[in-house]
Amino acid sequence: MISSAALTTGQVPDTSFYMIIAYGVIFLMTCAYVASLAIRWRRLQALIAHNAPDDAGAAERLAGHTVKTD
Amino acid sequence: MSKSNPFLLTCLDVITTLLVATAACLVFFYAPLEAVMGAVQKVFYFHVSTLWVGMLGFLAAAIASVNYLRTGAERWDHTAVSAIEISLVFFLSGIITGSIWARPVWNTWWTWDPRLTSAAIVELVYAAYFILRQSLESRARQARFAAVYAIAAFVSVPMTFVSIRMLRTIHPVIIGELTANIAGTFDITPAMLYTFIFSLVAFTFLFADLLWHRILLGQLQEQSETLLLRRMQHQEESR
Repeated sequence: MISSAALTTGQVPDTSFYMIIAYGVIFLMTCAYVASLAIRWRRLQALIAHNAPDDAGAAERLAGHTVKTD
Repeated sequence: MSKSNPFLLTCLDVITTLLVATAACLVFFYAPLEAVMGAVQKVFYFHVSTLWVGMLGFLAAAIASVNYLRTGAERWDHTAVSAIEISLVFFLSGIITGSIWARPVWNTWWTWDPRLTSAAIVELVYAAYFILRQSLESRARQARFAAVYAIAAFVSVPMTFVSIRMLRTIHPVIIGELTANIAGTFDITPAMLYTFIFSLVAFTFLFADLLWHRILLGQLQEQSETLLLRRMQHQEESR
């Protein structure tokens, strides 16, 4: 069993390269997923707008906008 | 993502961003260096948090699937798909970061340890969920079969969690009692514990935020398909 005390000073192995790579992976994967959600959202909005050319408010209503009709 | 998102979701976006940024600051500037492993030990905070998001999503999907089978409401199917999609991404990043941590600590990228093996199985089992959905044409059958699969697949999640507590392993155990089978662990100071708990909370918010966005996306997709069908029917009638 590795038993160790956490230190703020003293000699510790330099493994910061691996830490940076690991956090880079998490950051990139999260960003890629958020970007994929945004891209899919925009594509669907465009598709809805394309499929409802006769009804100008349809795309907005389907996308969640409140359309006022006077 | 869009100006059509509800106000509460925008608030959640902001809170989540602040929480994750604070968690990252705590990891890099507050949590102390561990004596044996050095800086790579700091991978632990987000590594566990990403896997926590994964497991939380799989649990949410199982609950949503039970509700779908009980009520037949489409929204539960959307919730299950959304939760599994997010969980797959985070669970995979958890596996990858674990592998990166293992390289300097275990001197290998991968070993067939019970925890690593069971985590890989969970990832593959849930990847198959989407293959199953794609293989069925009927929307209702797709949702029903996928719901049953998501409930059955969830068995693999607690098995992964307890694998390092029941089997001989070299994977560190931080939470819970240590047993004779456990070959590797490290001491955790209060500062490390605070950072760890904060990271878990931040990632739970991140999961809730992404889940909300993904459910909205699913609803938009369904509306788009309905509109397309309506347009095709209209074209048929006008011929």
